[in-house]
Amino acid sequence: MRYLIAILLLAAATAAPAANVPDAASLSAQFARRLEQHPVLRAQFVQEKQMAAFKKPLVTRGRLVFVRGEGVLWKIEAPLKLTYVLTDNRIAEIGEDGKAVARSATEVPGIEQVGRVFRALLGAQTNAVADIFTIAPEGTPDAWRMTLSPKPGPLSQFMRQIRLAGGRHVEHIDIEEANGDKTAIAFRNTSEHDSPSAEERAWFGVRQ
Amino acid sequence: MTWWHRAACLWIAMALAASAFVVARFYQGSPVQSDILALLPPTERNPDAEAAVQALTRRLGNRALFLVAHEDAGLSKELARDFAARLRTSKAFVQVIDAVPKVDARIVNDTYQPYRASLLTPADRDALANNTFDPDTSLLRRMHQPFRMGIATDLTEDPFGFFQHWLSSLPLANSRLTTEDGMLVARDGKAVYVLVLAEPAGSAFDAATQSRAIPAVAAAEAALKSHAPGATLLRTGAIFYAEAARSSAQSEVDLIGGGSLAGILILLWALFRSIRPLALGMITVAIGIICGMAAVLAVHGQIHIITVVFGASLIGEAIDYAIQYFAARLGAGPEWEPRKGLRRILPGLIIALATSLIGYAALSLTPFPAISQIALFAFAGLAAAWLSVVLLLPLFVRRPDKRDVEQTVRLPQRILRYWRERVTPGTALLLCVAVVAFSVPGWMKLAADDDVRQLVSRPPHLVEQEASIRRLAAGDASGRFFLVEGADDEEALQREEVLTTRLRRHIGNGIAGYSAISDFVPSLATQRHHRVLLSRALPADKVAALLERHGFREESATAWARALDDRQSLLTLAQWRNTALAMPVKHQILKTGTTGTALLVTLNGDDGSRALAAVASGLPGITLVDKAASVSALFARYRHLAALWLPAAAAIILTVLAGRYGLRQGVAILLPTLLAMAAALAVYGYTGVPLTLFSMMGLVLVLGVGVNYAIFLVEAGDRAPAPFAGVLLSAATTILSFGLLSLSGMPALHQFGLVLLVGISFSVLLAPLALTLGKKYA
Repeated sequence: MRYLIAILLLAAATAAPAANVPDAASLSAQFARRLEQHPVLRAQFVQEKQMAAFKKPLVTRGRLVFVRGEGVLWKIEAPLKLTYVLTDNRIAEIGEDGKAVARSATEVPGIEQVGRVFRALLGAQTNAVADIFTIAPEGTPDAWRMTLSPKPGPLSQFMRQIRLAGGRHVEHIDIEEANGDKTAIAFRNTSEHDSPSAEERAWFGVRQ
Repeated sequence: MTWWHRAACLWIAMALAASAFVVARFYQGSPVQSDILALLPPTERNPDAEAAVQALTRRLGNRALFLVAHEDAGLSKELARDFAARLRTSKAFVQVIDAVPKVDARIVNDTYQPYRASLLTPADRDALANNTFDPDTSLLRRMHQPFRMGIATDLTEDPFGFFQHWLSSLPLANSRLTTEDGMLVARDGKAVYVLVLAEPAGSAFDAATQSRAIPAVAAAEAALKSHAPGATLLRTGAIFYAEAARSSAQSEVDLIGGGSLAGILILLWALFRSIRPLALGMITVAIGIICGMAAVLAVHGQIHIITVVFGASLIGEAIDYAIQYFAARLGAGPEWEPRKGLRRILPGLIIALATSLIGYAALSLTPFPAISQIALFAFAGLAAAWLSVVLLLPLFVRRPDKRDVEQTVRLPQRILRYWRERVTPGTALLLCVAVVAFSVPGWMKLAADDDVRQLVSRPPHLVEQEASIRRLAAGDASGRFFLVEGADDEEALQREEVLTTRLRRHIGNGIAGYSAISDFVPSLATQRHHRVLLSRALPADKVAALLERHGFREESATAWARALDDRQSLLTLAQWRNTALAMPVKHQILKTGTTGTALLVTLNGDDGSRALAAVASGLPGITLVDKAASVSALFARYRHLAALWLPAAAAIILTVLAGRYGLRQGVAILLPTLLAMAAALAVYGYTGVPLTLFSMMGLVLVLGVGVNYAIFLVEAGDRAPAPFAGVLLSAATTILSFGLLSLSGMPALHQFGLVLLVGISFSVLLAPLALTLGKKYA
């Protein structure tokens, strides 16, 4: 039962600078190399959700930190303060009160996979996503797009399509759900760093 | 034709009929039973608990479990699919599962959706009850969370996420495994393990099922390894243990039976130097073994492998009567006259048979099918061998043994003479005191072991694989579960909820989790309570304003009001058990309806380390069913009882002995065996081998069998070297057989054999005391 799903197929992604054709395999390789050199990426994001339940779009702002080998920090700053810490096998939600709600793979089946999909996207290891999605790249290495369509399976029940676009970094992620809900995430000011800050390190140390 | 001839003919006819019966039973298909459960007595006072044990075993006990592993994730899945396909085409399995059973999120959602205002997780319930629930924050979090976890519910229908929390908390997948590509997968270090389940076609304990399934698994494993040399296969399941037990029993029967036979033939040849005693002695043994088997098959319909292995060791005891007969013939020399000779040894033979039968009869009093079968086998077997000696040998061995007695039995004669010359009653008493003095400190060191696993041999390579599978895939190790009973569904569910509230505190502490029906269908009382909590904390008008403020459309507020208002919609067990969701846990509903409701709460990843009885203490209608512990407790009880039987059996045997020999000689005959038992117990104490029920049972046998040697000796008198040679020969054959039995891989039989080996050896060594201390018996 992995219909759970998660999908924060977002990404703090950077993209392939050099190759001529941005096919999935070469993108992976570029990514991996980049991350070897600069294992930390920081970016700002604006997420806009259009949902049937709401009269107008919901806008969420925050920052994203990707640390190779550790995981992802998804820090929402407005309209509320909320941080998600995603590691290999658990997802912790930490509110303003500092109280962490951690969910591990044994509690919510599939979290492990969520994490894996996550890292696969960020690390551009498309092999790991290729079993769930059909990936269609287009454009040039400086301005590329990738359309991810879920293969038949539980995911396709509520996920219609994911589109990634960017140049040196991922700039846009658009998610279209089967019920018509849409999520658009835009990344700005993506920067590469050699090591996480002490504060970031502390976040990954968060345990319930 | 004399009456004797007629009786002999009748006996031969009966023996032939018994053989025909046994052959026919084997021809119809092997009646040899290897089911471990068949060995265990009913232990539960509560008949529902016993029924629950049976039901769980039927459902889960038969299946075989595999983990196919390789370092390459893709390859390991491919290998697992291929492995499953091979098992499927082998036709040895009725069902092979390598894909995750599909639990459709929509079905889960649709099943519970109408009742959502009655369903809360414990955490949400507590937050609402304690007024710590913050509606604003939880709305905002739900609106802005970047991804959805668990079963996603509609924001309009479930703005606060209570229903989503509840659906996500459903224990739909009870294992440490995760799903990848529709397969259940565990990762450990570098290796990726993929689960395959297979249901054998037929009972796992059936020889025919095993002979189809085991080669099928071996072939699939060989294909797996040739395709990917780095692949490994872990397996577990009753079928592997049962097959291992059966094949090791086979080789043990060969070893014990073959070894005993060979030894007996050599020993008999050494003393009698003639084919005739050999052949006829073997015939009496064969009749004994066949009648023992026929008796067990006639009474039980089946014979357990443990009985078969033990039966092979009975050869060494059954030959004793024939040896006594031939020894008497050797001793009589040229004056031998069959009937007169028999008449002279008959009293001794009768007493010897009687004491042995008393010993085995004491065994048959235990409630263990395993032991009472062994006792029946021995009882019938020894009686038949005895009858064969008494009825047949005088007819077939008429001519006297013409060899020179003095020449033949020189060694036994020398031992006898030495004993007679050196051992006075005074030194004999001193010897007794010495044996007791040696024994007492040993007794102080005695330890006991009542582990249920004594009954079965568990080959280490299978135990290792089982442990790995349990570590990787969780699953239930201990076989413990809770039985929850109530007058009706509602009472049972309410009681179960009290239990699960307590159980939750133990999760991660000896148990990984549990599976309870009330986690799928809360009691009506709990559902009503949830509804009250929600209406109180989040009344429709307050929620409408809140949702409006956060930009929700009006439908959300309407849906909320409607859900709270529909007071009728409570989910009942009767409705739920007919849904698709109930299928995987249906076996946990033992009974429901007018006669009362019984539910099972099973445990996941229970390592058996926690004393869970305390969890259920003080809760009405709840029983912790722990078959293994119940059986161990029974072992302990009967081990203690055996300690009480021993003096009782000794008293009975003494009465029998005193009837023939008088009290003093009777005591003198019994004394060597009692000393032997004392010494055997001391040896256990000194060597640190724990006493078990089976070693205590063996001790009961030592009493019945060990006393025979003193009887034979006293019957022969101290100036008769030939009968003494017969006693030594009998002892040698018995010790050989039981010694071989102590090599058995089945712990119960090993214990049995060991105590008999030690006890009988001491009995024989000390037997001449009966001559020294007893009155001269003419």
